Amino acid sequence: MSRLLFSSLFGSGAARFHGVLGVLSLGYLIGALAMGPPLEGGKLTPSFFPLLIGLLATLLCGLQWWSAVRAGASGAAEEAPSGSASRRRFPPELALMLATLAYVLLFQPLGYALSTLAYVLTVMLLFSGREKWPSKAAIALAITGAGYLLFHQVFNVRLPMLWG
Amino acid sequence: MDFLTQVMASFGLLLDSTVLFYVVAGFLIGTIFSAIPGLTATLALALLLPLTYSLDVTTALMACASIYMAGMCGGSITATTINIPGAPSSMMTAVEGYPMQQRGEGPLALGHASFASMIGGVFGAVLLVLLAPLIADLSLLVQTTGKCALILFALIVIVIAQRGNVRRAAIAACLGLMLATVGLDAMVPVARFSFGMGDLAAGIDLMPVIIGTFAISELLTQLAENDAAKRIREQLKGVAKIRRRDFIPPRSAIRRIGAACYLKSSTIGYLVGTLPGAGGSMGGFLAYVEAVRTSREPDSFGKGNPQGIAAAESANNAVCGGALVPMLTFGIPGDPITAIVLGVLVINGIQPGPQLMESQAGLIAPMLAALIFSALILIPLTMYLLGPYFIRIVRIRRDVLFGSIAMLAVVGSYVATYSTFQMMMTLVMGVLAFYLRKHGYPVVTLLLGFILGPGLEEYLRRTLTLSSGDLTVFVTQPDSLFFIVLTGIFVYFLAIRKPVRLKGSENSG
Repeated sequence: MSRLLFSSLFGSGAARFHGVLGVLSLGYLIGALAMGPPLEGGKLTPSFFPLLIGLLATLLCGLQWWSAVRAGASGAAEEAPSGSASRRRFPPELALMLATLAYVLLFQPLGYALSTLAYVLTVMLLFSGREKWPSKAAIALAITGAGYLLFHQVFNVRLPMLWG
Repeated sequence: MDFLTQVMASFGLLLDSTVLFYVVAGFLIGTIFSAIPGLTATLALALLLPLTYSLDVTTALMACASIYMAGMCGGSITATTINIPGAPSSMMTAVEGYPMQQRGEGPLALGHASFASMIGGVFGAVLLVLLAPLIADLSLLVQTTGKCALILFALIVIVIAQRGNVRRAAIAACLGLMLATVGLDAMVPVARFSFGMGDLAAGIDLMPVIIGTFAISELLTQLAENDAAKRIREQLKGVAKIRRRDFIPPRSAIRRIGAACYLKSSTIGYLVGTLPGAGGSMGGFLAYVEAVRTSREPDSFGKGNPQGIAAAESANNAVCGGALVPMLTFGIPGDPITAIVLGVLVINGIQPGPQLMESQAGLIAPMLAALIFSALILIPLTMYLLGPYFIRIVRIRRDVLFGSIAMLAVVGSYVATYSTFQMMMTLVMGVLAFYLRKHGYPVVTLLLGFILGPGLEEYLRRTLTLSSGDLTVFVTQPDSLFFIVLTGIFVYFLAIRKPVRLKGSENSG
């Protein structure tokens, strides 16, 4: 039982995700409690609704997590990645998350053109691999140009530029 | 001028080349997105949302309407040709369309789907035009307590509509409600959950929630399932060339299906559309079941019966008209698409609700005209003109497609405030939605929780303040009692009573 609980808490899989949501809900509930009492002078305060939702979310997440823990070994088998995905060392979706994070951080310092070109090319390479990358770079350049025309020329959006 | 006259007059707007361009472009984008398995018209709308800042609101709403209509019929293309519905609403079309494709009648199946979509789409939109003003008048009778009960009803129905996944749906709805509480309180000037960050004190904008939930999470999901998508693309290469003349269904076949089937299915679709969380897939399914139940040859279903296609497609397109009823009259979206349409209104400073039909009828009428125009003209025209090229369009290179979507999504989220904070919020929401989807949480309930949250909190607090905390007010007020009884009925039918099962569905999986 304790081993199962340990693997559910710290191992990979659904139980861990439900657990994370439970912790987030609990954190939210604590934040709501810190806001003060739900009733003051016979009136409902701003903490009333968050307390209600936080309590409900924590309860539901707790139940969901417990169900996953009870599902135990079968659940763990169900969640195990299969096929080629299990052999991947670095999941491509994580690479895309990091690429998007870098894009957001570099969008203003590098400007629209350079950052978008690099981002679009990265997304393309993630979806179709590194072969024929020069032609993909050309397509990424075209997409970046089309995006500029759409946002800046058609919809008058001020996009950040490296110079000017 | 009454509402019907305003809608009729709005057709004149389509003579403006700019408006017509956006309506036709919206329809084509909606068709392409719903035809590509994995992509949806919701994603197309989410990507369009930032552009509505620069577009005239009437044009933006008309484009949204055409994307919505296209999204309901485009899914039939891959449902018929490779047995993989491009959109969930075309699930039942695959059951009959694919056997027809195997018999070499694929184009005919698509023709039937297109014709039925046209009938259903027009029926739903006309019914919306006729009934919405009446429902809007009735909605004025709903007071604060009733509004609170109505939002609760909508949230509960959306959650229990996710059968077999109710607890996860409830958690996702709670997450949406929690996100909605971030920022300044609506009644007392107190910042909540802002952690001292000025950007968060203003609250989380709808735009990053929509783009993150539907665009970024879709990119991540598609990348995680890249191998499966490549196989679908390979399957599409094997589809035989489609000739334009094969699309047109013969009159005898339409007569065999019967006007009653089209009208009954459209009515089912419209009524299902008015329910929160139901959507096109449920509408199509129920109409299909009804067609099988009342057919003289029930055994012919599942083997390529055009009547099944007609029932499913007329119902799912009629859903469009029905789903706009609660959004326009009460400000309550029933599905992600109407939620985004609501977002367009909110972005432009228009508050949806009972007064909307009265005060902003001039904005709503063109949208409904575009809905009718899309169903009546664009569905058959697109199928006839572009039908032979659909398979080629659907086989578009995934790297090019997703590279473009990624750029549109992230830069689009910058447009709202010219701040990278919104881009970061989009990424955070996208990552959250991706993991929620990965673990079986329906993200639509998160979005609707986020949208309905502020209203629910405001009405709940007002009700309890006015009644001095007396909860019995919910059963003593007639409007509130009505929605509580309605909630009970829906809970019984959707959560307690056993679901409808198709004959032989156990075998087909």
